[in-house]
Amino acid sequence: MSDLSMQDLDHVIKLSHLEISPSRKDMYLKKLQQVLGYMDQLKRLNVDDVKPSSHAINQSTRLREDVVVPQPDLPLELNAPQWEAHSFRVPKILG
Amino acid sequence: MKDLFISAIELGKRLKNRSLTCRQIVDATYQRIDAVDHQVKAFISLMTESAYIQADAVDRLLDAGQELGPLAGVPIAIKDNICTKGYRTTCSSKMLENFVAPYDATVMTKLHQNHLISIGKTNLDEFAMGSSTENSAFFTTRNPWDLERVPGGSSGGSSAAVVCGEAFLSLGSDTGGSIRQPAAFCGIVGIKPSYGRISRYGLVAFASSLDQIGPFTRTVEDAAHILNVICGPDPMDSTSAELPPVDFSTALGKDIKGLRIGVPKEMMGDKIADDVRQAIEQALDVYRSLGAIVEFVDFDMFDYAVSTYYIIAPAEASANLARFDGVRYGYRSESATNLREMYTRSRGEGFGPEVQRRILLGTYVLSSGYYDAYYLRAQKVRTLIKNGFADFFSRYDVMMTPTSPSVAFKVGDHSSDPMAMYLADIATIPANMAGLPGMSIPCGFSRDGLPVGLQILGKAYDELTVLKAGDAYQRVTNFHLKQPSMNQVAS
Repeated sequence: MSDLSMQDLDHVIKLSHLEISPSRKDMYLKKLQQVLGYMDQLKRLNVDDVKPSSHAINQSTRLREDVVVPQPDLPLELNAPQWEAHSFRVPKILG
Repeated sequence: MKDLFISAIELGKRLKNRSLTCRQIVDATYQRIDAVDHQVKAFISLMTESAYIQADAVDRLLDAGQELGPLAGVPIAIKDNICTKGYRTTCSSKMLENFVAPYDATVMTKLHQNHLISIGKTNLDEFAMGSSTENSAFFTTRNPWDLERVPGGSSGGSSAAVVCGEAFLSLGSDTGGSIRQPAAFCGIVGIKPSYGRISRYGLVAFASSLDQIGPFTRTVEDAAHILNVICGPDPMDSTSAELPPVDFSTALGKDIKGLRIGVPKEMMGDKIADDVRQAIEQALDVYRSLGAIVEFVDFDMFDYAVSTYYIIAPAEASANLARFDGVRYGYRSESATNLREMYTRSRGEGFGPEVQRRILLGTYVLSSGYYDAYYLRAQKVRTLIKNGFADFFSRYDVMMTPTSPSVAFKVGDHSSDPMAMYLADIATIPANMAGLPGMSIPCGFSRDGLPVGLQILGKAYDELTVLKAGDAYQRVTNFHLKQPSMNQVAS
């Protein structure tokens, strides 16, 4: 088991922009402690001089000419939760 | 109609000699879905209208004597995390329950250009996070070999559809084994090509450095031909590999004398169920009889790969899933009174528990104070895994392992224990870490009559050797021709 605390979890919930009920938080804490505990095995490996990999295969960056190509109209309003005056409507931001 | 259980290539031949029309095949496919999908539950939605339009177009072209590709007119099912223009693409999530894709994924464009018939969208674990489809927000798909068991996951709807005659081919996606493990559980072929072989444009992103689209098929021959359709570089995906075109069907019918096969001892030990291990040992005997050289080797990266995966994949997912905020598309909570509540409640109500847990895990391992201990360390271990494979493939042509430590488990068996579920992917995860091609082929049955899968891994971009090895096996065995009892009623 890891030492992930409820305080840590609350912090991560805030960073993740998730609203989670107290009963579900208890459940998540237990399961995340279990998963993080399993990951502790990685500490057994000496990786001091190892370079990190962020990709599976080392590929060179693909570049292309910056050419404007016609785009089909995307009917944004069809999937918008609230659409008004060619805009996405959201609850008030200030106040 | 017994033609529902033949290979896609054989179906293509019958369509071309006009002993069948494409409309008849599409009719029979939808009748089969009507007959069995209430039990199997492979499909979330059907694409009936466009399927018949495409089918009639194929019939017109064939009647006019036009030459079409070998898979023209073949019905194919699509995992519901691949965008299909004008049709829902839900990722089996409440978050995207009503999302209609405004564009086609590149693989869909390629299928249409080659006249395959997309028949519907298949169930998955929510956002492809899971190994059983039990994390779908809608329902759990059942394994046609035993309806009490899971079909594997996350692409379980796609694998179940092919084995029970609801589709001849299907597409899935594989981030840690989500094509190979359900292929093994359902007794069919599933291949995850090398990272970059197939465009990810239009695949809803889970973990971008690991995700790959790939097919489910009944034979290795079909797999080679569908790869010819869907592979290739794409200007819309900067991670797609700029490689010369390959005809994957050239791998078929080849001799494998002298093929060097390495089998990691760790994947033949006590982590593996007895009847799975026995089926793999028998498969290795078949390879020896075909002239291959089989050696057992030390390759102890599997456990480390699982830990590494469950750091890297959630970290990438936590960033990818940040886009679901209730503003532009997807679920929005109705109870929010300000912007912040709209974000947190939409995400709290729209995502299921496994997705939330992985977002939290990913955010944690990337957060200040924990980044070095978890994420950076995992990226370094990823390098060790890649180095381990590079060393392995300097001595061997392919690696063989069981695809999964067990056969299909019962619905509910692992759902309360995340680590038990995560370890179901222990054999498949390393290939994603290193971007390697991997295929599962059926190689036997357990005492309970459930399929066992043999995993064949190859060097990066060397799908040809993987296909060659799989095809050679299928030419001298008949496990891929076995059918679950629910198919015998129909034939």
